Amino acid sequence: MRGGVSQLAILALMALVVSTSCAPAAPAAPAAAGQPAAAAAPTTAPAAASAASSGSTTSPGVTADTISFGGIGTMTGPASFVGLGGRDGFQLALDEINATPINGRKIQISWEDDAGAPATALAAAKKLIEQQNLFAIFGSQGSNSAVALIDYADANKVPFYNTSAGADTLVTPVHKYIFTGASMPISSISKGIVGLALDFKKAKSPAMLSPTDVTGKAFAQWEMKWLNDRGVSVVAAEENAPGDVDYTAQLTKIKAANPDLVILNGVIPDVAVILKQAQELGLTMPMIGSTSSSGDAMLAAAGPAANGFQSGWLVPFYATDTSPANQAFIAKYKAKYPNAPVGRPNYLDYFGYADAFVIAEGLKRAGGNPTRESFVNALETISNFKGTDVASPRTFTPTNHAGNTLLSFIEARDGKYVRVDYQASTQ
Amino acid sequence: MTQLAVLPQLIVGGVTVGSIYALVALGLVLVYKSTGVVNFAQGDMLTLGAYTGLLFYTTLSLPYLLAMVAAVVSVAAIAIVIERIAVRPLLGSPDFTVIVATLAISIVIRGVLRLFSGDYVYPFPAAVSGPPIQALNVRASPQSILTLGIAVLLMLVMYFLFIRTRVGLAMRATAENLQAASLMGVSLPQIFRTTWALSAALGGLAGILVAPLIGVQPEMGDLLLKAFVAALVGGFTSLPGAILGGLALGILETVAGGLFSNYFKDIVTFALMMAVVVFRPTGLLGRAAVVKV
Repeated sequence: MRGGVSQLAILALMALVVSTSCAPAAPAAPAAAGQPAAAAAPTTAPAAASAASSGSTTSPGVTADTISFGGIGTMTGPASFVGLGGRDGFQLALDEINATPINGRKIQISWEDDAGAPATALAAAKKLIEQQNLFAIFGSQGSNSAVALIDYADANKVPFYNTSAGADTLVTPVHKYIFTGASMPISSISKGIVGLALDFKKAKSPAMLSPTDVTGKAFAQWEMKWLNDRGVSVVAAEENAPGDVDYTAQLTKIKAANPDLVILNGVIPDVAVILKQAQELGLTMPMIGSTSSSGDAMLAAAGPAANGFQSGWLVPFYATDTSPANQAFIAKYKAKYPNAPVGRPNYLDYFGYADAFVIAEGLKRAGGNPTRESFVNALETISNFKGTDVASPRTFTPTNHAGNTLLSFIEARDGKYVRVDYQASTQ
Repeated sequence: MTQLAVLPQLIVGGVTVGSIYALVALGLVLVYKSTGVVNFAQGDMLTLGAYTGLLFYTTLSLPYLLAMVAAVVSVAAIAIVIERIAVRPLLGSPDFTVIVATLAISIVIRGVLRLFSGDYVYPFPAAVSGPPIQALNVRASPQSILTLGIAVLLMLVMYFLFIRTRVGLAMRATAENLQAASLMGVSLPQIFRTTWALSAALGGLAGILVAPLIGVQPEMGDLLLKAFVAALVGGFTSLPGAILGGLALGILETVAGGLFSNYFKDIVTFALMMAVVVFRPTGLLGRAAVVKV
């Protein structure tokens, strides 16, 4: 080892490779990426699995008293809160749904971890559909892994319902078998953010700081477009590496450009650090952010520096909300998961919980002999449906498979959130 | 023109982040200097320092200073256990085996932390608070000034330890030649234990200092990679080199990021590393090692 500085250099490069390949493409990206990372080649499931969708009683995953789903979530790595939240919320809802079985059938789900990696997600889908012969896939994952399943779902006519990913490619153009639930396409969220900036905050010369991952880039591109459409240009558009610890370079440049508002497109740990450093560097203009920077973890991590920060929100309640419906949900949650870590339930728990009811409704409408096709057809009839008080309504049609259209904003104030009196137009 | 006006602020920002790199690099250099092993779990010692600090201060409500001392001691104790279980049995194995073992330790620590704390980012109280100190157009937070001060102080302490004390001599002897040192009466287990405890304590302290700036979460240890480059630039066997490397790296990447593009931040990091490897393989302050056969 001694005298081996060049050996050390090789090791450093190896470590770099390891760390970058292990890093989630969209770390902690809640309503994750906007563009396909790499379109996976379509693969065809064995004929038995796909042909069964036309059968009546031989639908895969359907027995006399059960319908079995496969769940794919990002459950390990830095973005694990996406998969764990979605999974635990979904399971909690199943307890209630299965109390009165749908057409005599209880919903079951078996989970696979995609670790935030597209290839792993695709392998998980193949395992669930081709080996375990399950009915459909429920996804609670970031966009990178969700997008990897598009071709597979299309080619094999497997219903794929994702609760958490924000990639526009999942729903535009419409794929017959793919639906997104609680999350909203990035094109829509970014339109809402621009609306907040221009109409509510009356910004004239905004600046932007976005991570260089696909989610951050998608947000930045869409926001630029919506700003341009309104005849506004940004005075500074800076980028940062996700997970960075120092933002002096970007914030100093932004400060020098003297914007009247800054849009932060990052995710919670990063945005918290940015807010703190911005305060230290004397940036006093208002800052706003996407749905990816909302949550109790944000309040805790940024402390007083979060005061006044407004960010997007996709469910009717936030965890500290004291309304009875929300408290009832939290009580149920804590009863089932007494050892849940701090910060849970997070909004992904709400996502998974709400979308389980939407899926149950689809199955109900699909009738006594549900097939994959009748299930997606039934989902397309769902309009303004809320299975629970803690969900925003879902509407699907044959030409719209993005179920949630309700984007609101919340503002951090002394360690709590208050609702922002602004209803965004996302259409 | 406006570009250059922000230069002083960029340099100050670079020094802040650079002193954190330097602290982690110090721990890396310490273990390498005394045992010839690169400890890939050094970044996670930082994470452990932050989590235990949080435990003692927030959960057990100890006074701040006491809580932080307890945290540093705990991390050292944890490191002694890790050394005994996972590193000592590999004594005499090829260095690479030990390095892979430290990688495994890192993965285990992250997994365990995530198991218990989830992905929540905990806030961490700063040792010193108050408004940023402003001079002309440049601002620096008291916490960053403290971090730099402690990094330099620790460097001096470690330097003294290595040069002036018997333990330091034994450490250097062990690094030079394991068998010869052992034959000369150096207790290898004791040296290994001391080294791991010391470097972990350094890491833990770095964690306590960096946590108020970036929050506490299982991936804090990712700082290791930058610290690694800092140590390499400094020479990997030189304690002042680690400090110099850390500061140089911090300033270079912040200035490059600020004056050009954010993408330059990582480019300059590894360009610097390659330049050092090609043009000055011993690092800025390292000494060429002579292997006698």
